[in-house]
Amino acid sequence: MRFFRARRRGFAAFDMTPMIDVVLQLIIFFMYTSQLAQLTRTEIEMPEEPGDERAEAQKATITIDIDAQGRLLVDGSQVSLDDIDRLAHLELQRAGGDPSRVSVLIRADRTLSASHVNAVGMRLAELGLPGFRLGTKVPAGGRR
Amino acid sequence: MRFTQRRDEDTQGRLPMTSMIDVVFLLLIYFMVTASFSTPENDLASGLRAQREGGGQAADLQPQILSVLLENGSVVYRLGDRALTARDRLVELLSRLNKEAGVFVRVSGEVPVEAAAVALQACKDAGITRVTYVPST
Repeated sequence: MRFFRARRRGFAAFDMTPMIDVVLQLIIFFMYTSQLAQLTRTEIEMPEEPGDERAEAQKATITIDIDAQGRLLVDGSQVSLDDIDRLAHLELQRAGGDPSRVSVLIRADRTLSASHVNAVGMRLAELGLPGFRLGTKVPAGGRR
Repeated sequence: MRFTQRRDEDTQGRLPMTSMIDVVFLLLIYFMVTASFSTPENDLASGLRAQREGGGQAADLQPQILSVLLENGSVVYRLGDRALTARDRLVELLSRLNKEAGVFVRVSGEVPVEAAAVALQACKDAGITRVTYVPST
């Protein structure tokens, strides 16, 4: 009498379902967290110009948004010119006092008067910062 | 008598495709949703120099100055004695300048930010790499 069933050959296939589930969860997690920084950007109608592509290494250390009402925003919070002074001072200290290592990006509404950008620019120049970058929205059809 | 069903030999070596299709669909939905959220952004880099009042100002600034002004309600790009309104003409004129010396872009506070961006972009399109933004009151 034979109680045990004979082991079948070729039955060593792995069950892939849990592994695929885990991989999916990891992919979604990493993609979601990597996109969060961009999704939290303040919606600003910037000038439509091709500009220069922003390299990863050239990411701004300070991003100043100026909305259609002329409000200055840093990380979504309204700030004053004095706050920007303080922020730039902090960044300068963090950069070891080297202004060339502080990169400022100004994202301003296209219809807004340039006096707002100029006011920020004057403050940055007084601190000795060598320049800034003006944010642009890439035109839908690429280059103009 | 045989109670157990015979396992189909053909199905033994196959991967389960259901999960894979689930993954593909979810990724597709994810990319479709996020693609509408973020618009591509670039920037226009420029140097910065504060315009100082009083003596020494003329000596500080290079002769190649592009002024962005508001005249009679419209934006005018003034380069030397030439006043331009069209972008193409501006790029053409800028491309004739000495590129090594760079250009100072003096932006009046009255013009919209868009006009300042046009001036910076025109300098870039003309092949001028040393562009300095001069905030003007």
